[in-house]
Amino acid sequence: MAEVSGSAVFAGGELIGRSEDELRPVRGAGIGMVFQDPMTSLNPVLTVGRQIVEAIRAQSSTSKDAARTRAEELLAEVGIPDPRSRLEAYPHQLSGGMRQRVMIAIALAGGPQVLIADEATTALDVTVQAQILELIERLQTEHGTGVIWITHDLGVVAGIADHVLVMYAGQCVEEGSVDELFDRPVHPYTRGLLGSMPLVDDPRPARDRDPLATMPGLPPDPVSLPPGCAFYPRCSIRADVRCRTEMPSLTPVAGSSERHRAATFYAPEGV
Amino acid sequence: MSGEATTERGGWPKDDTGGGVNEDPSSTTGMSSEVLVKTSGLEVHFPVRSGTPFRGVTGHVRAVDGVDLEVRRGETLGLVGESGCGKSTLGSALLRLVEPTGGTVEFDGADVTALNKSDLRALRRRMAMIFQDPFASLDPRRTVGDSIGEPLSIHGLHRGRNRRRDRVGELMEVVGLSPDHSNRYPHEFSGGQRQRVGIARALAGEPDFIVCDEPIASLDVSVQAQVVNLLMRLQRELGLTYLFVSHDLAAVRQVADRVAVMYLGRVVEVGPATAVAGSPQHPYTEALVSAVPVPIPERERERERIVLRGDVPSPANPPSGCRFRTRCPKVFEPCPHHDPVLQVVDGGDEPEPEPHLAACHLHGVTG
Repeated sequence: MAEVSGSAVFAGGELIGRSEDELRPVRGAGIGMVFQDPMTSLNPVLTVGRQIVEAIRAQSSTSKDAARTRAEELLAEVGIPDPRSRLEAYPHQLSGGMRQRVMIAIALAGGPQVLIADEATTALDVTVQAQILELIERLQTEHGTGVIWITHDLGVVAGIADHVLVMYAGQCVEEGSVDELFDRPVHPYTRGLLGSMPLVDDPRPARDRDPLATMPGLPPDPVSLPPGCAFYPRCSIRADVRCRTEMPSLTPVAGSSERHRAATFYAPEGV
Repeated sequence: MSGEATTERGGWPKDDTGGGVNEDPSSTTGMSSEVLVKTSGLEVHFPVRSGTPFRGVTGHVRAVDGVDLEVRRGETLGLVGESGCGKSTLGSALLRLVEPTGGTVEFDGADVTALNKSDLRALRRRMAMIFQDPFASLDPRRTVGDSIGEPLSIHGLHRGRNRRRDRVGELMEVVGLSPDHSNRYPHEFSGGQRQRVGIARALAGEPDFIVCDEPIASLDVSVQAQVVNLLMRLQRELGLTYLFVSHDLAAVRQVADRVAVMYLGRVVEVGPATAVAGSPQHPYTEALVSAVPVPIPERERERERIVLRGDVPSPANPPSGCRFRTRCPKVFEPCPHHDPVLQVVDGGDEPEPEPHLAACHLHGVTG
């Protein structure tokens, strides 16, 4: 088991230190979760209807019939055509996009205030990803659900996020509004990530393009993090001994809103 | 065929500059109009067997279903499409790693589909493949040096233990690995380094042509750019020709001179990368391009995403007429009745030096 310390507050209540029983009302009804791979999160030998009904009845004392009706509504809500007959389908009978919609329906069963989507579209094709992103945006508008979208895809972030947090080796290295973070990135890791992405709408042919910006090396082994700044071995700045010995903390970025913060001693001038 | 003589390409990498195209001082591209690989009506159909004994074959998955494609010497042709469209099968069929069930593949004028085993083996020295998952494609019980050196012994290159070891060291250096690590095993390397091993192995036979099958898909974002840049550098230095198979249109735009788009076993659009991504002429390409997220918030807010309805139909039972019609936002009368063929289309304002083709009735009913 992981040891979790610090503080995590949901709707005014501290979550860290709660027992499983005390967490139960938060999971599902408070915070719903969608995982990357629906094929490993769904039970392959149960119909999707049964799995959604299970999620509904775990949250509230609903009759089986009422839960089934609700399950059908949820499938319709996430855009699955012919929801009644789909209740009888097994996960393997659905496409990847449809399975991910089922996962979202299960996450919505408790009527969560916050939805955590962990690489929810990473395994999907881009046209299917576009369908899921459209669905999430619609659910957000209709129910006012807060969404934490965990992803490595900065393009998706640029489209879906209001506020962004960049993590490296277990730490937040930069956060800010989506515009601040993409237009004026400060941390060398954020800058490196953005620079290394090829742009589909850059009009230049491949042969006229510059090589992609690269970061040397690899993310560090989380078991043996380097002393000082964890990004130091890959950093393009590496100004002085301070970087090697001292961990920079998140500090407000000059000239940005106060929610734009970065963990670097050497923010580039004039960004 | 006595192919041995013609496959002897002494001097690689030094003298292979792609058929002398670099004599033109204005051309620094290394590309030429000479066709190196050509498919005609290529088909790969996989039999679907019934679960019931003795019922036999109940249908065919038409993974690749009639593809005419040309790859020119020195260029990178990007092959894009979504899961199950047949792009990887097509790439493997070029090397006959899967056997085509119809049509032909020509490589440098020779009909690959007609070769016997030993001639095919000789030709495979000139055609190599880089796979998506270098962990699955490298033997975990062999040192990476042995894996890289294996093609050398198969093709009888750099004979003798010392010469072979030196050559393996050279190949490792070329891809940015330390030759000192040749005695290590695949699990001792990171994903990006393993992909470098896979690239070194592909280079061992001194190929002209490499099929890169999703070479960066399984890598960490910060490592993808390293491998893309490496592939580009190797192409420049060695005059290589690539088929770059990927679902990632942004990565394809970074490396490819021309792009072919596949949907359900067919090429639906092909042309210069700038034109195909910049002014797509097939509704599927249009939707695909519009769905690729760009890491620029303003542009994402303005973007009109074309969201396709429904799922890709089964390649065992494709729709009649145009295969895209069941999801096409622009479907009209001829689509269910006529199977469109690739025709030259006008890509819009800019004059295009290369033909831009699309298989869509909106450009005139065909088929």
